[in-house]
Amino acid sequence: MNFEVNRKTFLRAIAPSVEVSSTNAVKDFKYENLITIKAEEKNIVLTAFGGMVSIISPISSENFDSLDYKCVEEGSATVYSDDLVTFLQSLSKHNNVNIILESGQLKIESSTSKSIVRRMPTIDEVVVPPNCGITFDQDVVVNREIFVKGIESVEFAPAFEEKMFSYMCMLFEAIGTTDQELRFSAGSGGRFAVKSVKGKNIIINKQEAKMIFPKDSLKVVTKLLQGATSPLISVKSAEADQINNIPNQIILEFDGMTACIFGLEHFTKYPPLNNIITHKYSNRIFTSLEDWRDISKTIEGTKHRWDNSIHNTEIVLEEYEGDLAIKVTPKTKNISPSFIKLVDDENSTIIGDNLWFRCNSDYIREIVAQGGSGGKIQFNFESQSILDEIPDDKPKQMKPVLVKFSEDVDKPNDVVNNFYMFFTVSNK
Amino acid sequence: MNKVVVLEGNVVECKGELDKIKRTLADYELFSFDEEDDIDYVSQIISEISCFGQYRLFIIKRLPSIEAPDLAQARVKVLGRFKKLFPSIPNGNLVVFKNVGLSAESFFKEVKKYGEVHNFDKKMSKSDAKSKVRKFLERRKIIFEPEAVDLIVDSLNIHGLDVNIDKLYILIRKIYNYVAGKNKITKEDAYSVCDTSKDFIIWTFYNLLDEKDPCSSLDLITDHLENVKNFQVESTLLIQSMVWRYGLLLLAKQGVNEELAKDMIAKKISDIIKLEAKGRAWNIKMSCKLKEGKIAPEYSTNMINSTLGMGYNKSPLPFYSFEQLLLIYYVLVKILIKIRSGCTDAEIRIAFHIAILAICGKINKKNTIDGVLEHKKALYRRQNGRNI
Repeated sequence: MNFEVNRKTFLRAIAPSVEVSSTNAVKDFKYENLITIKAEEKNIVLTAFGGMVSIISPISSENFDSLDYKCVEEGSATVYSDDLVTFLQSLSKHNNVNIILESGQLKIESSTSKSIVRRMPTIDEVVVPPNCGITFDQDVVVNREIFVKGIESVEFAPAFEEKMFSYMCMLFEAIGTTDQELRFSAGSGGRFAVKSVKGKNIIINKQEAKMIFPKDSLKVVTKLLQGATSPLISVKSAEADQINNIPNQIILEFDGMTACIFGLEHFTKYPPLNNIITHKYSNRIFTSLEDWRDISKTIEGTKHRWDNSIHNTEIVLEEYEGDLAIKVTPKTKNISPSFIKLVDDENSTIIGDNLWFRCNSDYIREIVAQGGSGGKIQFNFESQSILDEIPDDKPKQMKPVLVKFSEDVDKPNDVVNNFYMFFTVSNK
Repeated sequence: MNKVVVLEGNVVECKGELDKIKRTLADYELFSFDEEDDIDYVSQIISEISCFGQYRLFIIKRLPSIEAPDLAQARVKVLGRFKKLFPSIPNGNLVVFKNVGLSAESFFKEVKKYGEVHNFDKKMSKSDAKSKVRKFLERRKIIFEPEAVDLIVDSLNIHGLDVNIDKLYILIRKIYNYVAGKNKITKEDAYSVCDTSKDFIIWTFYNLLDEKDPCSSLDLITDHLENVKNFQVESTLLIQSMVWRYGLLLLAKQGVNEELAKDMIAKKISDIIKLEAKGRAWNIKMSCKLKEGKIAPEYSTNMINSTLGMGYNKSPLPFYSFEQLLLIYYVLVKILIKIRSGCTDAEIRIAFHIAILAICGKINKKNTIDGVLEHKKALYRRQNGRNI
């Protein structure tokens, strides 16, 4: 193997493979930190597989303008990705480099000065990821930027405990063909976050899709797509095909590269979120997100010396200084309640009295942390007092508290962003 | 509606009960916790209701962790936290403690206010176990030798009256898989399947020797030694154990021959002190073995009683004469010395053959030592040309 490339562009081109093979690889996976480089007449194909995500990157002057690729001799070699990156970086004063397989080592030499050489070991093993799908049961083409931002909005939300394995994932939905919506949802079982992006032309090929991404793949997916340049990406899914030895997978195509996400076997269904997001709650009140910041700090303070197993906060709707307000009381000793005044809104609705709920204090803190810069937030809830009316031999069931954040109209992209969080109430 | 269920006891019944609970709940969110989870985190989740109107099933596989000076105190603290938590568990949430080793009545009393305690048996009498094995095989139309069933059950607790139910279920399943496709279970099948229990092997081996069955004894011990990790070590240990057993039989037989009362024989034998070696090579010194600060006897009371037929088992003494036991003991000690001074594996195998044949009476004084002596006498007579 012997080829010449522009060093800087080549470094940019190998970045996704490095990301897959090292930064986000499964620890001690057999191909961890390995990249197979295959030089062909027209292009270089890089293959990396980190255990959960694989990437096959054909690199040529077609997808990397300034690559300046010249194949001297076809061939292939597998190297440690950190070696490759570091030695390429170490030749910072040289524009073009020759990469040569010589005596079982990979030699990088400056194209202009043959005496400047870096050598690295090669590995006999070839990176062989599972086969990529051939036929796809779902296939949507979407805006890359929207997709990345969508994932980023809910990346904090999946369960972090393997004890709730079914929630260690993110649900991606492409809904509707005319009034289109891309929705990203993740949750822990007790609290969920949903990012919705609506627009007229955000699903380019007007297809619907519903795919579940494992939590462990989210970081690498966002990294890969953040560094990509193409405005559109293709998101496909392929079902397992035993005859052709193809596992269940989600395929992302961008910049001429193909990334496959595996390990989907356990994520077969997700709870019906629509039942909550579209539910007409009996109570809908509005407050300013800004007003919650101090409350969040107060709640945090009450946790410092708290040694009970459970730290909950009670939210009660009651009169304060002549107006209706939210009374927030962390359920700890020696705490004075804080009040948040409601913000007028024609969509407010309050039915009945004795309106309250009690929830994990961390959910309140997350509303503030994830809610963005400000604006009105909408609380939709049923009073927890309804649980008292349920006979003791029946399960205590009520809709979770739904918090809807201010709508964000993105005029340049002609889309409307919405962000929701909903969480359950606690009995203690 | 139960909020808390404790399942303790044998795994099969615990699992059966848990499956029943799952069937009753039908649509539920499943959470499982163990020592990797913090009690605070577990408590918080258990007190919340489902977002989607489902039941929530929390399985506690091992008690969650809490800060405490040691494990015992941590356990007490965690159970205390759980007791405080029970009133806050909403209807529709069910916490199942699955075999976490709970036994405190005070905890059970608290659980019973909110649910049920299932304390399934962990042990079963041998006769019940045998009937269970028989029924299991009969239901599957498998013919079996009655001794095979006895062997299967006995292998789980060679000297006791009861067996561990979990081990029994596993063994039944194991033997069923072992004979897959066959419709008959023989004694040999039982030996093959139960041969992982060293105790069982040795005691079955002794029974076969007592019954003077050299072929079965040899098969059993050959199979066993083929599967051990260290042939030399295991065979030495086995010969040592035989020396120990036949030494006891010899002592007991001597007492019987002297027409001493069984109690007296037992007392005399139990006065023998167990010795242990300290130091290496030429510097080895023997001294009394101490167990919990007391001088340990060479033979336990149970073992002496069993040998004299004063326990659960039949006495093996009637199977041997004193002369036979002397020869057996002599052969075994000689073999032990030979093995310890260095033998190939093949030589050890031959030594086992000799030991087994001697114990089963196929090699005796008359057809070995007497024969050699007679031969020597004849040679002497020939060399000296005169009669002695």
